[in-house]
Amino acid sequence: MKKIIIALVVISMAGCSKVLDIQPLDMIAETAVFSDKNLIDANLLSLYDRTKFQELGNQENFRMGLLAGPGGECRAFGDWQDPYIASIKIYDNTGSGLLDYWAYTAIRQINEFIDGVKGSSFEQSYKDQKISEARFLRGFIYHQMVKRFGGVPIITKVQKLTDPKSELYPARNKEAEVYDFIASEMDDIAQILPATYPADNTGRPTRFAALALKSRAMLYAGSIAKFGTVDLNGVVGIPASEADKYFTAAMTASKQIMDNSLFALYNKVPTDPVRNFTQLFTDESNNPEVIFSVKWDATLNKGHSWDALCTPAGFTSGWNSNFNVFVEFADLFDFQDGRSGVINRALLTNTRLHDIDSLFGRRDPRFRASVFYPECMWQGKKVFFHSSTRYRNASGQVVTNSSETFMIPNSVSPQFPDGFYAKAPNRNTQRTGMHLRKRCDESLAQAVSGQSSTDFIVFRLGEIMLNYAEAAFYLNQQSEALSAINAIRTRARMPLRTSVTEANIRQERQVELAFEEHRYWDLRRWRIAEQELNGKRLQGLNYVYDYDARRYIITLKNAEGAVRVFQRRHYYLPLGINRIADNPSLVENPGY
Amino acid sequence: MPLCSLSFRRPLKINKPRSYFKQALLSMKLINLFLFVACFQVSAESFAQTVTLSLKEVPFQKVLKEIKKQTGFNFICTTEQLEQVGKVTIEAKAVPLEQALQLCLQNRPFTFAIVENTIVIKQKVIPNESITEKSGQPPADIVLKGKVTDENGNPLEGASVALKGSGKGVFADANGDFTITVSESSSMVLVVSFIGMENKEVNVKGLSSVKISLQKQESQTQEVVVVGYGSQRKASVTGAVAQIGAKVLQSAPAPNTSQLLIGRMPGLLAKTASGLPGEDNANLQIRGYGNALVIVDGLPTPFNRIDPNDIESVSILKDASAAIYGARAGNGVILVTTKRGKTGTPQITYSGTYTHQMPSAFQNTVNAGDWAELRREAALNYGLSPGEFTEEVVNKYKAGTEPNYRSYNWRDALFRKGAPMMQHSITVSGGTPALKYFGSVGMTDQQSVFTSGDYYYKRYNTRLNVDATIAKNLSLRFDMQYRFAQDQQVGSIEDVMVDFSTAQPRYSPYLPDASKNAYTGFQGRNPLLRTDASRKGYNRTSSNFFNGQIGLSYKVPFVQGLKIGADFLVSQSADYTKVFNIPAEVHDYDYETQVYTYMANMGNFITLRETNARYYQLYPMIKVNYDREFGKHRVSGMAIAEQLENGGNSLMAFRRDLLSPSIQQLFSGGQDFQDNTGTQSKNARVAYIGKLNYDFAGKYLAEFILRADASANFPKNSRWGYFPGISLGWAFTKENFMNNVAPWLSNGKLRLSYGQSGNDGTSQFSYLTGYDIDPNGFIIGNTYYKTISTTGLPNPNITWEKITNYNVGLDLTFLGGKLNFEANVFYRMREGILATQQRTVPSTFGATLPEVNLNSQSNRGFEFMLDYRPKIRNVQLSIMPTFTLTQNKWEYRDETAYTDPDQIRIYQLTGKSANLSWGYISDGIFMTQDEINKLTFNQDGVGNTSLRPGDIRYVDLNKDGILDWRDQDVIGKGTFPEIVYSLVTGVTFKGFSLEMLWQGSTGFNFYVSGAAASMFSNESIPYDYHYKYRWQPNPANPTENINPNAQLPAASLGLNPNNIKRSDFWMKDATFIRLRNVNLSYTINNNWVKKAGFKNFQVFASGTNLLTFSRLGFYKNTFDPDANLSGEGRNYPIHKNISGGIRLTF
Repeated sequence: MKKIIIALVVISMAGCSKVLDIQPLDMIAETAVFSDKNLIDANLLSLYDRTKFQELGNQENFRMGLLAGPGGECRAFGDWQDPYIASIKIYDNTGSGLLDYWAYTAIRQINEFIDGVKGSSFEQSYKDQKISEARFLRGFIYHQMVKRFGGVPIITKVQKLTDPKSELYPARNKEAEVYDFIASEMDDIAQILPATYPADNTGRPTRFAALALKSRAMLYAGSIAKFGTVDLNGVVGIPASEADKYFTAAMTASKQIMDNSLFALYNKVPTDPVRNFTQLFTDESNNPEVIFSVKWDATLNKGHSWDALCTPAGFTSGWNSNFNVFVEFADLFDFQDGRSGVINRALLTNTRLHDIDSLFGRRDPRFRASVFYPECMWQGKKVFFHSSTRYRNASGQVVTNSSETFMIPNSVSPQFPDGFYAKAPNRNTQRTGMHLRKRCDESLAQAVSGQSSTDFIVFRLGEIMLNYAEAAFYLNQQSEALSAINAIRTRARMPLRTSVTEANIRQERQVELAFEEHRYWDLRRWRIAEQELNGKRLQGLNYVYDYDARRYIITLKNAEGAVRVFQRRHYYLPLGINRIADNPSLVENPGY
Repeated sequence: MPLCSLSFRRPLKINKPRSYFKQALLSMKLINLFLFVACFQVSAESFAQTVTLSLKEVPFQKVLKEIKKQTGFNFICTTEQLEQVGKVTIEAKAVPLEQALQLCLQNRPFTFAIVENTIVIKQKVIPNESITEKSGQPPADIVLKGKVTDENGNPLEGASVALKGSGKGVFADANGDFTITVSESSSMVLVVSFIGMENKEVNVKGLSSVKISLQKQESQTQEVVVVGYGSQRKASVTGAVAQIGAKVLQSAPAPNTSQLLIGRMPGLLAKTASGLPGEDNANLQIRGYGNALVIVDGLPTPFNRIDPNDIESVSILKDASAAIYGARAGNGVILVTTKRGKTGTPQITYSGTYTHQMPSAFQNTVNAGDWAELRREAALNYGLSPGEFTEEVVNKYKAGTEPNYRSYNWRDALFRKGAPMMQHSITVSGGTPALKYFGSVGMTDQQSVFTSGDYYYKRYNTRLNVDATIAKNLSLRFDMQYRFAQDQQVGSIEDVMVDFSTAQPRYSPYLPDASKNAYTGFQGRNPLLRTDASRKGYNRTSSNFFNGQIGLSYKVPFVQGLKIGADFLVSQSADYTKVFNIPAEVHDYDYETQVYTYMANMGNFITLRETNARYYQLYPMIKVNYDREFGKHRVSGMAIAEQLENGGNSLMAFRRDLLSPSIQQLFSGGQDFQDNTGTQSKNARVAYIGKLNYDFAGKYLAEFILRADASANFPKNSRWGYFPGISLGWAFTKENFMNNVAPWLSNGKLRLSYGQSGNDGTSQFSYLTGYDIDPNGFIIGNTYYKTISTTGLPNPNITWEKITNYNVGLDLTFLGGKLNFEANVFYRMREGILATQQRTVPSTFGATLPEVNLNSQSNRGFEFMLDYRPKIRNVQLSIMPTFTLTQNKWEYRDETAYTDPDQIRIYQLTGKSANLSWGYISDGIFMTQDEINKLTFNQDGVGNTSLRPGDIRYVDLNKDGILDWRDQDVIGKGTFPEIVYSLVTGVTFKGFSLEMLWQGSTGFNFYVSGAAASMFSNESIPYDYHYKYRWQPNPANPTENINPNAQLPAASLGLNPNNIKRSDFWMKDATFIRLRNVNLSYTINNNWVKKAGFKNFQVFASGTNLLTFSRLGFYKNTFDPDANLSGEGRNYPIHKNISGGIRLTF
């Protein structure tokens, strides 16, 4: 009886296992993707999103300043913030920490995408276009890796577990091979990608974006050949004999862009070079300088926090005043009349009074467009950085006050319409007395987290011309170098040069491309990071305002709590013991 | 011979393991009834039944069996009795049953009674003849009326009331009332007994009425324990099962039921995360295994929010006994059973408690003077400008006399000394044998210790459990539960704690203009504002939980012992969350000039986010039960087929820039920045379950379990899993050879078990490959596109991990039940733990290989419990220590094939304890520059040039002259305790009862990090210990220390890379012992109470977490070792409670 009942029960329930056949409610079948152009593009755009076009992330996008820290341009406000940690870290064989980028997951997905599109049944021109976009992304990623580590394994197919061990455990390619790969890829796709896109497709790489990547990569390769040392059989370093070849390639690629009428240095406000240079980074309608940019738009729920991070205290709440510019970097910005911008340290005493305008206000317009300094204007108000104020009180005594909430009596005046407070908002006073301003959007009223819509310009004509100038210089084409440098200086309204030196070119590049994620890599490829950074503790300024004299007492202060370490081995970042352990075919970079 | 000495506590005749407890109570009443019938032969009716027996020298049991066969009559008899009756010879042809039985029991100290269809075998009561003989004249009879109840005033129907020394006795009726006639010459002592209760002797001399309340037998080892899909007599349990009952769960008020289990059961390890109302779940782990499966009345649902007044028992299945729950039971099972109705007049119980909650150890930060001093010192230590913190300014803060240089305490502003919690519950229970019910209504209102009062948790819960006999042999069970909870917060706890951590003591929390919010030194941060709903908005969640079940059970009339049944369970939860935010401003106030300065905003937009989430479960099952005795053999079996389907969906909508903060509705939101999203999910399981129990004379016990489980989490080919369990028990004290060997040992049982269960914790559809929609999108042109990316490589063979449990247990009972001992030694092997293949491909492969059932881990340990309940005169004492040790180890872990011996030593986990923490070994701090200069190895990689006095000194373990990753070693354990012990002690005297629960944990660590280690990290305010124990520079010679207590690094403004290396310097032993509970209660049982209409009146008081002793050293004022100790230890504090309440029964 029992058995019968059990049998009945089992029979009655047997139908129930249908309930287990559940289809996913939120997943798209693999087969569907490559037979639908919308899905193909949705997949491609996720690969765009994965490609490291800019540093981002961390709490409120702190890492947007990640390279400017180690590059000695500015420091993050807090000692605990990633850009600061990345600058003072002593990199060793445990890995590259915050600067690491080992993007083989993205590489694989791009390779999968390329295979998928190849196998699809769409028209060849469509397939070529989509595959070229993907190859552009892959080339960009390889450049991000090669500039960190030197040679890395070049993988262009989707690896299978059944592949031979030699392929699954690849050794590192030579550094030159990676650069050559980028060059040939960009050459190929430059034939396919269009020169422009209709408005609804902007944001995709054009043939000029491919050439721009080639221009940059070839310049890097040339300087590594010229200044670096070959080691590990060419896994790092490029023979010096190759330098000219790469510089020539850089020049050629750059020239193709420079010669095209689609591009021009941004010059919509020729009368005001500061405003002009400021707008270059925020003007997103027919900006002739932009070759390739990543689009952001807060109203489409894709905003970043650049303005929230950069805006000085007193203008917004939250993590403002985050990127504090070092005096050493400010030194690179000459005066508009051509005088050296290096601040004479001997004059920074407790007694000397400085006119702030003559110290900062007459510098290179690009300084004024890139840096907040005392009494510069922002959103119709002055920005202040002083930590205390000396003034004559009612009884005629000269006293010093350092209260943020204390307004100097009777200070409301045309010069200070809101009155003058004895101390600037606290965060402005603490670090270097100068903040990063470039790319900030003055029209953004609420500069809070996630509300910035400014696109990130990956390639712009200014850089290409500097690439051209630098490559030309090393190829002894002085006049080509000079004219490119002067074109840049003309736009900046800086006095033209009559001849160029290596130092001129490097200075121009650092000034023009300040805070655009270049300097750290430039100091490395020029092999001068040791002298520029190692053992240095970069500095900032402290201001005491003399209210009666309307002048500042300016003194130097350390801006970093630790001495930087940049040793010879640090020209390449370490792969780290874990990667070596998991693939014994990989070799670690020298010195780790 | 006193009646009570009869051992009828273990009724053998129970058909249905499921809901045994309820039945057992019923049976107890019946047995009492039968008992009296039997003893006094009050009314032995004549029977129409006749039997024919022809048996020679057979065990009495066989006779009874034969009778049963012929008559269908059941019998109630203990194994002891059967043995005492011994062999029987009987020849009877068609004699009345009664006569046949008399024949059998001739010359034996037994008699019998027949009630309905049941034969009860009973010890003969030999009348005390001397009394009747000696009395010359018949003594005057007194009619005594009385009432028998339990300790809560519930009437005990069928309780026996016997006059001591006479053969006389009666039993109580349904209201517990009885009337007995006693003669003056008799002893005048009534012996009152009821199964499951302590016997009581009452002297009734001179009384005409008496009220007798019996107490539950003080024994933690209850007679019946709830096990998977049913219940079982404790005596026949072969697995490692622990159980606590309603009394323990009601001992102290707690908003969260999980907290009540801590320290009460051996093998249960716990840690509390936070005391925040609504988020105070204890993390319970059976033997340290990970999250256990929780089953409430058969349905997998969380139990944290169940009203403890509704719970009858909680049991945990620790070994093979969990195998019956198959693929989800690998971490053990927690079974919660709610109360059910009992036959009798309706009994209404009200219980109300008021609790005063206080923060436990918590966050002592420095005052303004010390803070300013540290700010200055930290800057100077690192060659940085002290900025505004000149010596003069520091001195002003130290003095605190000038209006703008005072010190304020944000902690005291943010937290109040105490916050109330109120709980009320009314339960009703009663019924007739045909219809029994238990109903309850409960309410909890818990406030937080935030001063603002805007964080709270409120819960309303109702329940109705009904058992009905709807036809002959057909019974129905119908349960419903509904719970509504409201949980309000303002800012998230993380945000509040961050704001609090940076609130500088130099700013006053309150400004003279109360409408303005104070500046705290850091932008718009202000913890008071962040907790103020009227200024900042709110985050409210209303959760609804409904659960209903209906069960039918049919006793198949023609097959004895067979029952079939069907259950259908359904639950639905619906959570609605509304997050409303308004921007607010903070102002600085100058106490000299009395001017307010706007400093910053907290929040910039009015925003509203509403989320609806629903989740349902449908759970039908069919079951067959069989339970029958064949002589000394008892066989019971169970077969179940079940199916569980669940799913859910959610919907979110967001708007920004609402027209006005007074209209908190989505429709008032702006057109820009709108957002909405939704999700949906579905899952299912199917299982077939079989269980077989065999019991030979209560001596040899065996249980076999087999479950076949299928889960939709896995692909068709690996969907089914089979989970067997075998456990054996040997009650060795029942062996003949044990007679007289150890008379003090009343009972001894050895248990052995082996079982397999599983863990199906994996994401659904990991066997499929496809494309998922990414959380982010990408803009092309001026359009935002959703993007998709591959889900990666699938594992088409993914299945659950297999977990094998071995358990050896020993149960001993001494001193006639007063002392119980239970111990288990266990070993568990987890195999096929899902893990990413590390070994197969290197990082350049570019895909994480799918998770494969790959790794294995073992746990081993032991646990014991001692339960001693001596009674000294009227004082009932109880002492119950428990101890659990559990350790786990990676048996295999797929990891990189390391070749470097140091990598093997440090990074390879296979073969190592899974609870280890690695790091550098520290050697104090450098007191002087000279010590750095003399360092014989390169500690910082750059020739010690970056080191400074007050930095941590490390040990170059391998003595290779440089400190690098190779110098790491084991520095401690994980964050979950390996050893947990507890001690419950209690005293009961008359109406008073006092209980203390001490609980300790050890074998785990607290790693001090972030702002707790590095002062000023993230702008936080240093703790008092930073100030007191820092390396402090001598102003005259800043490379020298002047602090005699110096143990911590020098002041710094943030993270110093040398000092934040993971090392034993910051690894603290978190061992603690805590007085978890003290409970004091008094039951008033006098005329006043009766007059007021109460059956019972109890007042009680309790304290929770009143004392803590920990090994955290100087960190202990700031951190609670039981709290969530990862990171910086900044969390809402664990509560310390004092409460009082009453419990009334009408």
